[in-house]
Formats: sequence, structure tokens, C-alpha cells
Amino acid sequence: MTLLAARGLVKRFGSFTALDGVDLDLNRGERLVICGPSGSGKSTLIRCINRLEEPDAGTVVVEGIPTTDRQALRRKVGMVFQQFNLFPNLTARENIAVAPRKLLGLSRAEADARAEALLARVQLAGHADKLPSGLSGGQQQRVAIARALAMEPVLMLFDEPTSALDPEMIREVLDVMVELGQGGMSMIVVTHEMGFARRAADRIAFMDQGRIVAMAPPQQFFDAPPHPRLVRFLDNILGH
Amino acid sequence: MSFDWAAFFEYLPRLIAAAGVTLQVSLLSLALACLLAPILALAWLLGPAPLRVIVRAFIELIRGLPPLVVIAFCYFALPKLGVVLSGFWCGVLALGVVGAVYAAEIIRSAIESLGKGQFEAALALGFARWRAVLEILLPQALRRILPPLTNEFANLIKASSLLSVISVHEISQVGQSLIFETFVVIEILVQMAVLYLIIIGSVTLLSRRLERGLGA
Repeated sequence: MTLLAARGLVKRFGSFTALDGVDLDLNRGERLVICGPSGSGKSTLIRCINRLEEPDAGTVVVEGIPTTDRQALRRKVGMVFQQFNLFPNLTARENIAVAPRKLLGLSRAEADARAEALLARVQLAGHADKLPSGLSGGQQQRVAIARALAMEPVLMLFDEPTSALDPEMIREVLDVMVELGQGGMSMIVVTHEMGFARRAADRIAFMDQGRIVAMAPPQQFFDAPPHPRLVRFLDNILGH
Repeated sequence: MSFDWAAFFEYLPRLIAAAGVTLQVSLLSLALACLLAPILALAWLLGPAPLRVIVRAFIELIRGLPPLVVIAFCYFALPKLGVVLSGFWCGVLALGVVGAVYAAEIIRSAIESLGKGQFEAALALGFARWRAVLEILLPQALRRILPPLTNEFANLIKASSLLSVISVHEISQVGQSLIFETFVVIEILVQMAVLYLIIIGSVTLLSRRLERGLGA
């Protein structure tokens, strides 16, 4: 069953065409990884899905959400950023509870309970009262995932969630994401972590110059790459 | 030079009454500034392009004028436009607007200095743009806003002395006329200075308290 349908997405920044007519469908519960060289439009694509970028042309439909209501869309589509972007003045608990409290009208107690449960889910029970500055990068990113989940989204977007992390912290974040996917969450993940893609993705899309040039399930994607540019890309990132 | 304590105490009550007026004008214009500044800052940050241009032009205009000119404009020009205010309320309006544009600039730059990521994180959760600024960014920016804002408010209180030119009976106006009436100069100047210091000192003290509260 289709959850997301993007058609003909075009996004230009000045004379640079970041997205050059992208179509994308995602089924409910599906986990899609998007990879590609930098500047290929990966981040722009997912930022067009929750309308942090307004596409110059094309449409994005997330099932059951009117396309005209950006706030309603964003409440149902969670996003995790490369730089975490936790609110530095709020504790881990408050970071997670603030949106449910202010946007969904939960009481402080209800929102806090939701935050505590999510912190436990991302293996951070006991860190609720810490400020982001007191958490490691990996812990901050897991709080950021919990913060997005607190709005009970139908779709989660990850924009290079491990690119800003020290190598030893990547694993703990990816583990949380794998678990999330196994729990049935629909996900689109922009990442260079090919191990994660192989382990957790249903399909992998390869983008180049603003287009999706190849899309395949992991096994076919790695073993029989369906596009010459993808072969070169995989050689570059896996070959040494 | 001898200090005439008898004269000092004779004129003190009139200056204390004037200090009451200074305090009233200052607090009311502060309130007006506090009300207008976030609105101006929000309009500058988030408004549609034409509104942003108007707001920026307005802010630059007022910042480019000496407060005395703004006060004179309110007092002499507004009546020609059909708005007749007493000297007192002219003072409140003029100082409030002057304070607001400086405060708006302080708020805007503090919020912009937080970076795009914070704003986008709030938007991605589903906050409307103005709510993201007011409920997520502004609380973070408060610690950067408060110190320069306190300066600005101290300036505002000092600028209330300019209202003497439109006959508002505040400290400077009353002090000046007492000096001309009585030729008691030093004693009255000392009183004026002490009263200003008390008012401005309390504002500064209050702001330090707030800062400490935020710093916790």
C-alpha cells in the first residue's frame, strides 16, 4: 500500500538543479536507503518530502495528509538531521516532550511519560535530565530520533544521521534505526553506510545529478549494480 | 564650596515627584517597547517580502534619527495628522518606538545567530514558523538578548530627560527649572544624578537577577 508518492520533483538553487524530475513511491512499512555522490540531490529530495524545501515543480503526497497543510504534514513525518539539532537549552526529556506538549496538547505528565518511554527505547533511560551538551554525539542523535518519534510519525526521514559522528558511535545509532525499521516504521534514510543499507533496507536508490538513476533491493544493488555510474560509485566507497 | 543641605532638602520633594514621572514614562515606554519589539523582529524575520522591506525601512529610519527628533515629531507633527497626545503620552510613544526598534534589532540578531538548524528542527516537528521563533528560538536567545537589552533600556530611561523639551515634568525638566528659579545648582544636580542612578540601577539589578535565573 502506497504511503508516499512523489511525482516530477524539481528543485533549483540559482542555476544549480538539485532535483531534476524525481519520482518516488514508498509503501507503508518500507525502508528505503538513498545514496549517491555529494551534490546528487539526496538531502534535497527528503527535504522536499517534508517541505523544508519547497519544490519548484512536482507534487508529494503522503497518504491521508492534505498537501496544502505543511504543519500537519511535518507532524506526521519525522526528521533526523546530520547535526542532531537538539535544543541546547532543554534536557533530553524536554527536547522530546516539547512538541507533543505544545502541538498535540499533551499534559506535561503525559508528554514526560512519552519522553521517558522513548528514551528507554533508544537505550537512554537514565539520561532524561541531561542537557545535550552533557551527551555524546551518538547519544544526542538517539535523543533526536526519540524527539521525532514523539510525534508518532507515519514516516521517518533520516538525513545522513551518522555523518557527523565519531566512528565508534555510528553503530549505536544504526542499531536504533534497524530496530525501528524492524518494528514496521516506514523510513527513508540518506546515508553512505552501505553495511546498514545491506542489513536494513528493502530497496536502495542511487542518485546522481538530481535524478534517481538506479533502484533495487540490496542484493541486486550490490551484486549486480544496475547502472554504470553506480558501479563506479560503489567501487569508490567500497573498493578500498 | 559649601553644600547647602537646607536647600537640598527643601527641593528634594519636588524632584522626587518628578522622579515619579520619569519612572512612569520610562516603565510605560519600556512596556510599549517590549510589546512592539518582538512583533517588529518577527515581521523582519518571517514576514512576506513587502512587509520586511517596510519594517526594515522603519527600523533604519528611527535608528537614524536622534531621539529628540522623534520626540519632537510626535509632539509637533502628529497633531497635524489628527493624532493629539499630551506631552506625557507623546513621550511614552516616542521613547517606546525608539526603544522598540533597537530591541527588535537585538532580538533579530540573537535569533539569527542561533543558526538555521534549530529553526528547521522546530519546523520539522510541526511548529508553525512564528511559533518556532517564539517558543523554541526565543527562549534560547534570551540569554544573549538580555545584556544588550538592559543597556538599551538604560539608554531609554536617560533619553526620558529629553522630554523636558516638550514640558513633561520629569527629573530633568523640574531640575532645570528649579535651578533657574533658585540658582541652587550643585545641590539640585546632585539630586538629579542620584535619582537617575537609583532608577537605572534598579533596572540593571533586576536584569542581572533575570540573567542569573536564566543561567541556571
